[in-house]
Amino acid sequence: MKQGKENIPPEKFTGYYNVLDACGQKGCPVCILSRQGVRRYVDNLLYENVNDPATRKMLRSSLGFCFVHSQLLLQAGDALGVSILYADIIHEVESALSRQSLRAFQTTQTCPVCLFKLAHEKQSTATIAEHISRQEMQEALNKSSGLCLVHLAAVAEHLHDKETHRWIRALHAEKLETVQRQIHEFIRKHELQFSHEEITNDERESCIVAIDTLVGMNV
Amino acid sequence: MHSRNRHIGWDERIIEGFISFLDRFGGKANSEEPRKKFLGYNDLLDLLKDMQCPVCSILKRSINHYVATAFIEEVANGEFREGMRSSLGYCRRHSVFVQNIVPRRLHGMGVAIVYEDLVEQVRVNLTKDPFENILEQNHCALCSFESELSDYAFRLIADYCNDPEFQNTYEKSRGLCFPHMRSLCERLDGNALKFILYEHERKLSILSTHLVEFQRKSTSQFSSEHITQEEARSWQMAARFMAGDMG
Repeated sequence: MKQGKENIPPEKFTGYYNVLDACGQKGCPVCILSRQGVRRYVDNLLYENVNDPATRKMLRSSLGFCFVHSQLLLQAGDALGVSILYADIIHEVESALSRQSLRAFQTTQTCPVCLFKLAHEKQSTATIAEHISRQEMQEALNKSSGLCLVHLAAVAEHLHDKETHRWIRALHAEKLETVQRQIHEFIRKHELQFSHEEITNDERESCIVAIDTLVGMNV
Repeated sequence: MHSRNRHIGWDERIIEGFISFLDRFGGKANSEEPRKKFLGYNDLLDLLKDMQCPVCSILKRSINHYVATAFIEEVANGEFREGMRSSLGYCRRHSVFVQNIVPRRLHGMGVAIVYEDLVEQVRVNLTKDPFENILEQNHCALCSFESELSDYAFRLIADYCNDPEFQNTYEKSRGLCFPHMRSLCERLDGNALKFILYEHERKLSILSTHLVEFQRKSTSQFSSEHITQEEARSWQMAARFMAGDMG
């Protein structure tokens, strides 16, 4: 796809280069950036914001984190930071229980990390859509593993040019063909008559890649 | 749900026993009259003794069983394959259960056969003009399965909440996780609700003390004081209690 004269992309910024870098790694670039962003957010939260009143208020209203992000919090290994955050939340629930007030169990906010993740992904998909007419971006997407379906749909939503829309769909159809071929080979090599053929790492991982492509990576 | 009767997940006998039990007693949960105990009740007590949220344990065990069975026994089942095609597999949360079984040889083959189909479906869809957003059709079969199963588990707990043996085991256990406790409380009233609220208040008060002590002993001023095992684990227990173990 060539760059249209009437379609001038905005200035390049850090987010643009982050997308280009993420395209060089295995997996959906938006999921990769989101994963990096979420890890930074959690580290930052534990390192700097544990005693921040606004953060504590937000966590009291969301009653902590969702399952996935609480796991991430535990993996961060900052026992003291986590204990400070949760002492507050547990105290909140405990006092609601002593009042026998079930209404206090209603969360007024979703997990703050989930909110951050959504905003981060929105920004990344918008960056891809805004700069998609640049040859550099097209080449990076071409070399990447491709976007997962969730983020492909989000990027496609921003695209108003039919040609670009068709191009990105054709590119991802090609990438899915590769995954499909690898899965097919994985199945074939499990058959008795071809069992002597070595299963490559890509073929072995093809099912995991297929699932990540359909539903996005676990971030 | 695909072929639900064939791989219901949580031991079929337990669910069947529970359903027949409910039928016999008119399905009235949470009343004061004594209940006949059956396999599901003993299973519940065992899970409580394991010091985990019993509902999370039941769900995890059942979904693992469902997925493991489905990708071996149902791969050639047209109804299952059609269900998978129409929902485009499972949601992100439940797809983790599928990804976990991929390294097992037989299961990996089953997953490969089913997902080759799904990838082909998406690929063909991407080449279509106008393009339909097939993500909009997505409805995860495991989400329905999970919700049905947790409903059974809540009804089971609700039925035995006034039973002295159950109460005794519950007092000694860690109880339910917060998300499941909240759902259970919506289904309870009277003494059963009071019991669950009181028990969790008591457990949380102990956890809260451990958290505060852990923080105090982590400061340099009191660092010479010994941190007990409960205090050292309190931050993990608190995070697990609030988020549950199921996702």
